[in-house]
Amino acid sequence: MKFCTNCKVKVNDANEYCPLCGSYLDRTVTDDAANQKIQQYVSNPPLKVEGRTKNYLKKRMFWFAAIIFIVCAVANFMTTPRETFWTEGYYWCGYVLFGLFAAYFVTTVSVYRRRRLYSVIGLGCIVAAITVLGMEITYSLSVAKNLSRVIYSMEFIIPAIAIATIIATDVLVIVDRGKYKYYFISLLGSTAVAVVPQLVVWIAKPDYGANWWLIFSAFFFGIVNLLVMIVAFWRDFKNEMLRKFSI
Amino acid sequence: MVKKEKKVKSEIKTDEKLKVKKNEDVKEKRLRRDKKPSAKADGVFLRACEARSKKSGKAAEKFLLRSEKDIVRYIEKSQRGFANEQQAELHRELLKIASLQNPDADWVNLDNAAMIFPATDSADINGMFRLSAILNEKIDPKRLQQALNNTVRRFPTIAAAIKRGMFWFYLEPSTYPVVVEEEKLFPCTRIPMDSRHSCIRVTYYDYRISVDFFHAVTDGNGGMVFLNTLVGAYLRLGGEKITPSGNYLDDRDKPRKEETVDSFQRIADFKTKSNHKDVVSFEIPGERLNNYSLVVVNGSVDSEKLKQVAKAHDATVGQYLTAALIWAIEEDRRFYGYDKKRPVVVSVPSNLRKFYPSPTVRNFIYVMSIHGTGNTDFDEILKKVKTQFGEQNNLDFFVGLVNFNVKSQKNFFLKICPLFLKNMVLKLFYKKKGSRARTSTVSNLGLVKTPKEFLDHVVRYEFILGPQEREMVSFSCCSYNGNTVISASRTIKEKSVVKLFFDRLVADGLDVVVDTNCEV
Repeated sequence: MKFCTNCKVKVNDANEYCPLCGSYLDRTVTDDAANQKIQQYVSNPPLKVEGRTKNYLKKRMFWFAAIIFIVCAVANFMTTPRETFWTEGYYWCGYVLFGLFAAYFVTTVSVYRRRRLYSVIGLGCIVAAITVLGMEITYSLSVAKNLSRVIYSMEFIIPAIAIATIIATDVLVIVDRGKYKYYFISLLGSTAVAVVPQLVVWIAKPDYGANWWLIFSAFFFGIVNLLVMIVAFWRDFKNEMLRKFSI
Repeated sequence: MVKKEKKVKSEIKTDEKLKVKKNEDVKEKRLRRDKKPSAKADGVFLRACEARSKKSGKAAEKFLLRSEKDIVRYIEKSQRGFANEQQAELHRELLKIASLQNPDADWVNLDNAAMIFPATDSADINGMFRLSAILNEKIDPKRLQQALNNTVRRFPTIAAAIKRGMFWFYLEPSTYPVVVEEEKLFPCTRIPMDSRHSCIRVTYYDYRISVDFFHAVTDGNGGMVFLNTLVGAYLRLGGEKITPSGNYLDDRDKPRKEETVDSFQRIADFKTKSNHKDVVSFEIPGERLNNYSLVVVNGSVDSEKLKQVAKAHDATVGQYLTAALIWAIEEDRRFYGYDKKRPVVVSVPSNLRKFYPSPTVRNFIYVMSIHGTGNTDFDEILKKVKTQFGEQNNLDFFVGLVNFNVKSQKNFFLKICPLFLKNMVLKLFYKKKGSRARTSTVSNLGLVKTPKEFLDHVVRYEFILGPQEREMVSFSCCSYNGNTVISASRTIKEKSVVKLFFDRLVADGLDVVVDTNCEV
């Protein structure tokens, strides 16, 4: 074993410098057989401090998105005459906001959290619905300064996304039958997206004319499908809900 | 003209030759790729997958997560990044053995003390610790993997993965098996928190078996039980007969429900109040190393001599080491003229099992906060440390703290609060109060109790604390076979506090043998 004359400690032979003071070790001691017997088995892999750095993906993406939105919001404000900003202005920065929202949650968070496909489907449905709705609200506020133009997203796009996601989740549940996955939480999310437009129609009573058929179909399909899947895969559903919603 | 034609013809010929060579290269590459042994073609592996897939109805209700396709895809993906074919081949074999791992357990909630760890997890606060056993024989990775398979089955809650629910985190068996790896990273490197990664990492290097634990699943005591069971299983597979005793449990036993109990819920009486208040403590200045870097200096001393030195100061070993650390930090502060406004506070975890015997292998510890005196008089520091140990190291003090935390956990509004909000609040609270309340930690695992058969094989144990946000230097120790190993782990380049600590021990007459994992 080596000996540090500065610290008065013995040092493992593998170390060239004293771990406590950094002195170069050139003295050895041979009169400590007990410790030598132990130290001969003590070894470490070669490690260097210049290793990999922290994963800043989520933080950087968040601040990148925030800066882009702030720049766009300021540009939107500056390019519109201030007197007419609230009465005639076009709020295009809203499109940017919802686009960044979708990009952040569906891509960055999914990559950072290493999400599996089934959870990305469910999350994607909810995020897509919010994004589309948000963009149409922005358009409606820009053009009509109220929500009267929020039509197509509620009538067609959101119900269609919800139906597609529900079918995709059903296929995954049936194909992966017997192997436990967290599909029902995605199914619940997609069903919620399918149900909400019809609830809005019943509560707010917007005038969609005869184009409410898809909304009602999505509502009906979502509810019936959920009930059928719960009955067919009751045990899986129960176990998943116990885990996810345990208080 | 003729010359030009000849030139063009020769160029065409060279081009054709090059094309032919390129095609041949491509063909060769394809052949080499097809010749590579794929896991699918391996009959042994397929049989193992078939055996695993033939589960009874009841077992299928439980958490069977691994599928043959997933494992094959995982194997093929993991073949990249190996230095040579031998390493890749070894890894493939270890994966095949690991594929037989089947914890077959249900999900469990986190215990009360564990909730802070996943909420505050990041690269520089990762709530991890390492326990290592050094043997007198080189580690056989395949035997270790087989031993790990048995141990994971025995302790499914320790080898579990953390999952997010809507309101709380919980533990369940990970989707991929735990595979032993050769140690290449710094100790206590963060484990990604997803269902593919278990909360433990098992590594080997030469004579050492190391297990990195995420504190959300177990504490030092539970971790030692796991490590001893793993080492015992390893020795048993090598032909040794081990009699269960001390911190070793037979890996062939079935998991017991009482080992997964949250004992905090049992000791909380909701009557005893806590008068303890945290203060903002002094932070040891220094230049931080890269994230994921942890420099460890191990100092070995004779256990009997250490006890005698502590007794000479009329203190226990834990009190003496705490006082030595406080003295080292105060001395360092005085020498460099650092700010003296904030007190030095050292956190000392205490095993609650000595007050309330519990067979649980999950967290059952609580932390004392020991304040310094503000000067460098060692005797005065030790006196104050002993007083504070007397005031805090008792069941009433800990029950007061436990009551507050368990009450918060049972609060209805907190229960129904979504997890992401809880995490945000916990993280903020921890940053503003929790992490600022401590300068450093001294964790004494005490004597490692092992079966007598271990004495012929195990040479030394090590206990290393992982990186914290504000605790730049942490100390931990454990004793085995007359040898106490004190590990100083740091995330800063400066080693003055560590040096002063060991200087204190040397000045008190102790013979210290040091080694380090990285010369910085």
